[in-house]
Amino acid sequence: MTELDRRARPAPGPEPQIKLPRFTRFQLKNGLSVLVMRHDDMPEVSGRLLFLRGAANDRRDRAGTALMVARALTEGTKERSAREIAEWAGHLGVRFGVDVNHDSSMLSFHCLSRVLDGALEFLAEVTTRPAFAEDEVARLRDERLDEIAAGMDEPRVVASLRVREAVFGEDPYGMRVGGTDETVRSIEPGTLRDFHERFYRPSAATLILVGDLPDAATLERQLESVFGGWEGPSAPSLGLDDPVPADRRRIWAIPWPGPQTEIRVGGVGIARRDDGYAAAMLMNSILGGLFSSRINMNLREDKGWTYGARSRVQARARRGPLYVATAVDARVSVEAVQEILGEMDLMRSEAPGDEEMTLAVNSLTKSLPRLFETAEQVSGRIAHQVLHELPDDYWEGYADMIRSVRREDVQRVAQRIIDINRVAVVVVGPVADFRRELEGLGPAEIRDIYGRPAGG
Amino acid sequence: MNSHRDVDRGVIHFDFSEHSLENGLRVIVQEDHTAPVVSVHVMYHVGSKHERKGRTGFAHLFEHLMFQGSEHVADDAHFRYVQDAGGTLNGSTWFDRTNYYETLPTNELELGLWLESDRMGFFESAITQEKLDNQRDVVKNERRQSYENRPYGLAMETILRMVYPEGHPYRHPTIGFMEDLDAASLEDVRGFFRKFYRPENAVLVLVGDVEAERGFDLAERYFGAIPRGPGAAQVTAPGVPPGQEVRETMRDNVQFPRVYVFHHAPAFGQEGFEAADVLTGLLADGKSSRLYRKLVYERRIAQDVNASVYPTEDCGLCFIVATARPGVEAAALEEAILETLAEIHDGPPGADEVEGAVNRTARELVSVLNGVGNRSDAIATSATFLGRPGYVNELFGRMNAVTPEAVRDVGRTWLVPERRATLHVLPSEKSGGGG
Repeated sequence: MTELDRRARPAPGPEPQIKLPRFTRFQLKNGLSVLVMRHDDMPEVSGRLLFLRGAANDRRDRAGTALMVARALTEGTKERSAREIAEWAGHLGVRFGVDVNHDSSMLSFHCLSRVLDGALEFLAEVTTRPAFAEDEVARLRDERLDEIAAGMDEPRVVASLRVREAVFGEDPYGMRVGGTDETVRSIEPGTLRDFHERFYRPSAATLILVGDLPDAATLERQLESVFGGWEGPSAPSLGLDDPVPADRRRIWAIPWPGPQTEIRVGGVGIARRDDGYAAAMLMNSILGGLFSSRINMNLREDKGWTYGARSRVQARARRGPLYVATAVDARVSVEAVQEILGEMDLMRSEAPGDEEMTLAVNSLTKSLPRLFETAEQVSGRIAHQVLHELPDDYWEGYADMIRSVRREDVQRVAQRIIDINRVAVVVVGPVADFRRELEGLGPAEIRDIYGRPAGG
Repeated sequence: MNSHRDVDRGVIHFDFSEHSLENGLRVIVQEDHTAPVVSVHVMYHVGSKHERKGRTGFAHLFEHLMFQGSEHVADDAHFRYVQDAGGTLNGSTWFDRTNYYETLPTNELELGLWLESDRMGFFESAITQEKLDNQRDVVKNERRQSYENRPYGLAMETILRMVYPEGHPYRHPTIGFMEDLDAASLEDVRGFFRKFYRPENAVLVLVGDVEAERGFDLAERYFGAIPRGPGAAQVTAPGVPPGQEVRETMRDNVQFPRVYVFHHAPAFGQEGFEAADVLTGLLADGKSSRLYRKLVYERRIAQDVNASVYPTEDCGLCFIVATARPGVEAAALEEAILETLAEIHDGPPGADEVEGAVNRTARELVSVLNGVGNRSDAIATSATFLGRPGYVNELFGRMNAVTPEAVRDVGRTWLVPERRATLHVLPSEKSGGGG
């Protein structure tokens, strides 16, 4: 080895070969698609059962249905009571979780491979034969109401909920996945049964299994046996148009006593299928997706106003949200909003510099090796492919797709999805202290934590 | 296959090699060629328990400064280098230790070593008043965001004050108090660095796609020339003798009462730690657990209930926390928790119930050890707290070996009134909904 020269960053070695998920697929007789990948360095299995049907299918006055259906699965089946189900899962040691968003419902489990047989039997029973018993549904409804109420103690939750409403208005994306106090109260066992009957069908579902698995033939036999009795076609998902951005800037000021102000600046972003997806991801990295992004470097590392500031561009089945989120020292609330608007606008007015582009491209492409490390990561990446109907070899072309984006493409997509004159600005903090300055950014509406006009 | 395993016999085993440099830096390499990634993890044996009076929060503030550049790494460059390489990074501060880590693609291993060695060996010349002031502001905002402006956010510092006596090293939270953060000076930074950020007070763990020999050679290359320090005086937080139960009530801007029941407990690696871990799983992990069933499902008095044991180096803590449903008093929660503890004291739980708790706890352990980042943390913790990195290989077996009697015994020894602190957090007069 040569003498160590500390002044320069060590040169990287040749880029490693990445082991990307090459899953095999087969279909059960009832139409359920199964994607399987062995990943057996640890004695574990990660499984996900994915339905491309989510909260966007909820009736507006019963918002929260899709989430409650998923939660109710483990609260009793035709064969077992809620308590017996809990004991069964508890004894297997399986972790079961549900993840419901507007466009999909996903049931996930993680278990030691030594209990996989039991875990699959469990998954099949709760998914296909839930009881939706009156008393259990009533209890779940109360739990959800408590959860909604408790969230109102958290300024960050309030800010995130309200910005979504301010951005999307009447579109289903503006409605909280778990519903509101009012809509949840109207959910009955029949509501759940109906949703389950229509959408929890094998033909619209995909089962992803990753980990220390038996051979494909054994697995297929096992799955046929536990999912065999499940049948029927799924109702189609509602066909909805893309949300449309508002025509002017809206400012909601929500009074909250505290040392900080929670800030959200949001707009309508991009759909996953949009050709500008890759450029939008790079734009987000540069604006606020990375620690070294513009917004965090400005508000945190330069000014010390916050513990952190970030942006997100959520590409969904339809145009999803794009937003900037931070919590700042309340004394600089309005200055912080101004800085955020300035950084957002700069994405439109100038193409990013080469150095920023390189950082954003590298962080998205060179990170691939560590995004496929554990069984749960791999199954999650495959779920992303299923959810957005991406090709099986999607991840193999991913790096090239990102690298082909030019700085002008980033600016162009910014011009398409960012417009600071049409964003929603939500601040949750000691509003009385800075209301007048805030009005400098446009007319500010005083709202309460539920988003209702509060006069003043 | 690098990681031998035989789960049915209760074994998860990682082969690793260990070597100390001349300057006292302990280096551990665990090869795992499953994915082309490597974790570079440096753990310093210094945490909030080493802070002096009037300087609470300093170890954590110092951690922030470690990301602000060193002699050969420009001020804002640390994060950028790692993210540009496709890596991820962070640091954290605990009572007993501070760690810094990055997970990188294999071919960028040397970048991680260069960054970590530069801030271990060449930190002082890069520190300025401006950086200190900026990160002090950032940390104060962290305190506002994660503690002061969060429901129940100040409960933990109240608990610590209740369970540990005046002057005890664990008595204050790692985030520290505002006035102490204000008091921190450049002199403090230099003194702290010279005392604690020395090779002999640290361990370097490499986990992932790297051959042990190469790992040791590179460790020597990057860290070998950093001089040994004077030897940091270690702090041991003394155990708290059983006494009277401590009780307090505090008010917060919340709608629902919450009850915290804390007990002193075995420390990480101490006899009984795994049994306490399994016990908390049996009490509150999942819907079949005893407290969930009683408080959430049957009586419907709680929104949620959690229990866990803190992995501390010295005297430990076991907590049970439950939040009331609307209209329920804190006393009802406490009563139900104490009833459940009395049942544990009465007799050993069934073998089936313990088997379930073991399965859950073991599964959780697997999901901690399955990635190189968390695994390097577990190895570094074993090395730092116990001087025995190999302890990580015993965890799974120890977990699987916990018996119903051991669960009862740890309950009888530790989860008793003489070792208990109970805090009720109640809604303030004008509470919830932002006032």
